[in-house]
Amino acid sequence: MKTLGRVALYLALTLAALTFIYPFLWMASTTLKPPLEVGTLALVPDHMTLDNYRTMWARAPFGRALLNSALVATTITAAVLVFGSITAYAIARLRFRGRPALNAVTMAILLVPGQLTLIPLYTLIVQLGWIDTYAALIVPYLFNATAILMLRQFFLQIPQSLIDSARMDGMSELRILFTIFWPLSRPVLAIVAIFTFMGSWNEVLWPLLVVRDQHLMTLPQLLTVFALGGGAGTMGVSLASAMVLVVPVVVAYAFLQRYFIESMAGAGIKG
Amino acid sequence: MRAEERSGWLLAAPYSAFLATFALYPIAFALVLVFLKWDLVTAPAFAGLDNVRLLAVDGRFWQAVVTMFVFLSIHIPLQIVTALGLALALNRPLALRAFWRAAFFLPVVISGAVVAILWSNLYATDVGLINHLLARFGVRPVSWLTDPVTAMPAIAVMVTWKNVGFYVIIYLAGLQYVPRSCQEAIEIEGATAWQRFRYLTLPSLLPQTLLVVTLSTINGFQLFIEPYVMTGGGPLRRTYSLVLYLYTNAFGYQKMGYAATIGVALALIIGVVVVLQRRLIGTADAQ
Amino acid sequence: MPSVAFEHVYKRFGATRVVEDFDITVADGELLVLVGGSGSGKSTILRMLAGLEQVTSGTIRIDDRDVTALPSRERDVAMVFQDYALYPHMTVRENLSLGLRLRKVPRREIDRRVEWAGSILELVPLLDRKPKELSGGQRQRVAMGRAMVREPLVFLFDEPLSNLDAGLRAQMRIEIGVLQRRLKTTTVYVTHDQVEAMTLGDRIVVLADGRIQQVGQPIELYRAPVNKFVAGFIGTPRMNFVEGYLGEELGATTFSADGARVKLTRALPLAPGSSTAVTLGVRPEDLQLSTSDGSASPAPDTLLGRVVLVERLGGTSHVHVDVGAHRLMAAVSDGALPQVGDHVAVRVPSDRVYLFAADGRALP
Repeated sequence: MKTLGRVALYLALTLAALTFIYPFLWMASTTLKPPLEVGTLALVPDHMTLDNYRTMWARAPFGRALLNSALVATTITAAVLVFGSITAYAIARLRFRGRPALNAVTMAILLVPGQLTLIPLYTLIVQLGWIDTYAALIVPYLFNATAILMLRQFFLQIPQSLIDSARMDGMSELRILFTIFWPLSRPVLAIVAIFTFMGSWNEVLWPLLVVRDQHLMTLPQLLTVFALGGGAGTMGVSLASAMVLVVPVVVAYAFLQRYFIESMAGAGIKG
Repeated sequence: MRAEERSGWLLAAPYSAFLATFALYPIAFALVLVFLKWDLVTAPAFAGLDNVRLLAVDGRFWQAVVTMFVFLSIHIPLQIVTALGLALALNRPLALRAFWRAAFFLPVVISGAVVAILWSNLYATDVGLINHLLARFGVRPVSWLTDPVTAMPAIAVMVTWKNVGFYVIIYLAGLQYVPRSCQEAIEIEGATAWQRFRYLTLPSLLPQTLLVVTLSTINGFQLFIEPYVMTGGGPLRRTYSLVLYLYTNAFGYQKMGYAATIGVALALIIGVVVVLQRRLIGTADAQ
Repeated sequence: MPSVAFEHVYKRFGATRVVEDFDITVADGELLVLVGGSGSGKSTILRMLAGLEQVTSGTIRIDDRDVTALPSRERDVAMVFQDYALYPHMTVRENLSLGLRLRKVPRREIDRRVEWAGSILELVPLLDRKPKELSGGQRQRVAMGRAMVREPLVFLFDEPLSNLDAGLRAQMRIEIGVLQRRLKTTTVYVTHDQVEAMTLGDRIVVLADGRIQQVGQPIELYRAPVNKFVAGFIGTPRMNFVEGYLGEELGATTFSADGARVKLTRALPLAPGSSTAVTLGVRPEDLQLSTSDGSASPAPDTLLGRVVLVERLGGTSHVHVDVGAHRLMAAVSDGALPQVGDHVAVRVPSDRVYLFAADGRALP
């Protein structure tokens, strides 16, 4: 009797897992199908073709967009890690009068919905003349409150004795941060890196606001514009463009899913 | 202390500057914008309370507010039931547990834009996968995204699908804290599996459920890319989310002041709803 | 009609044998204590009775009904857990009444039973509090109340006093004893504390390595332990053990060990001239001390030694004496006590001596 229950459970889980995975499989296979076959249920096309990809690549600068996304996401991630660590170190381990205020403001910031500041930020970018620049995509994201809070929480647990002895050896605070704290912080740095990178990689609303030039668009942005603007034409082509965005992520996820889950779930809860 | 104090200020300076420019100033300016009329080309003009008055009688705005509540009333219960169900199924020694968990979480890591495009195609009336599958069972094709009745529910289901993995993780974490001895005790006391769920598991998960509701709400009010990509706000404005309306006012009509007013209103609505939810659910007390 | 019967119950986890041939009948209204160290199998046995663990082989009966395959909720037993297992989100009243509510007992009856248990256990002022607002002792009483309220066939206690401090433990021990006598419900009580076992049990089962070492009334186990384990486990302070040899000397059985020699007045079937390895056991309270000047040869049943430590506990004192290479402890009533360094004569009364063979078995 118990085995019946277990079999039913595994069946249900498989069905559930399929509903989450199958659409992506279907998407992948559709991109490999000629227009005639698009819409069939078959996962393996009768006449596999790369036409959709060729079309997509020719119609819009996807290669460039891929580079843009990579550039923006990497820069932001590096900045968040470095600047975030510096800030978190200051807030966690250095006693200065502004500390409680800074802490409180950081936590309060997280309560404010992004939509409130969307328009003012946009007008700021316009006034700075940063429309259609990388600056617009990168600068507003150089510091991340969630990352700072996470790093701060971790840094709080490192024993004071390490700092004291380093100071006595004459190390500057930055030196202490990067030579002592960072090696100890690998897990949390990895977590911060993942959710920051993924957040930037997947971000589409902000680029839509501040970038008009196709050559500066990030991948999700170009793909949205492409799909909506009719440049895609057929389903196969628009899905092909989506694949460019998805495949690197899925590959990374397949190998690092434990870190992805820990990172993005943890960040979401804290935010 | 003086050296440490100095270092503290120095190291925290870049962040402080950033906060001032990209966080505090925008929040303050958002409130200022409420009183301005500005198209970004000409100079801003003082508009007094015009924006607020317009908002109060703006049918489209209030329709968007109603739309959000329609969305949430479908999305939140669906999210709770699905996430909790999956978490309960996963909360036991299971072969391939990591695999199932990873499968459910997969859509969470994928860009909302991609998911929107994907599901546009899944929901497509003629060639979409869903109607294809339904046809296999003899069901006539449904115009999911173009029928005013089904459009918002369709989006709600999609958003649930995208995020459920995240909430499964939250519930799984919560389930770890239901003490084993309590589960054994309630079984000895005569509880069936359902009774154990109702009297022990579910009440123990109240904090998690509150978290699911709060985060889903905040997330739901920020709905943008899905209607933007999938329906453009239609049919009959049934999927016109608040953020989409904000976007249209800013970039379609160039009305920065009015758009900012919508933004402030949105923030206020979210705040009120979340506080109310905390009161309502939080009072069914839990540890 | 016996209330609980274990018939040749075995439990294995994979290849590990946890309980072997547990065969016991618990009489109606009896309080049976299962006592032993960790890994003795006592908790597993209790959990099998509760239905929380599966039986590998054997049968369990409650009131002559075979419950071996029944799920916990159909067995009509109630259990008090070591961590009390109170439902954190429910008030004390709700905790007490849940079992009855689940079984759709009428409201009036529920209220009556809750009041009854509440008044016996002094829980009435606490009824509307939540577990986190209660002290350890109060939580323990709620756990007991929850079991009582169900009026089950059997009470099960899983080391319920382990999480309490010493003073509270002694007090609660008495309360449990009084309560059980009053309710007359068959009870199986698991503990590692032999004081609880001795004071509460109508009968005690001593377990080690999943096997029954001995079953009997507390005083039987104290007076006539069947093996070295039981002898060392039961009785506080712990029995003295000395390893040595039995031989015949001048027509009398003698125990000798590293310079200590005691003549015994019992006749043991020994081959003349042989010597058998045995352990001698004697309880601290049976040893008799007297002063000695260290030089006179001792009586045949007396050993000479030096005092190394005197622990004064008030009414009794523990005197630790080094005899040759061995250390013995004597429990004597407080009075004229030797000092550290004194020479003493330790008399080992032959009728209070226990002998254990190399395999632990008690020799007659």
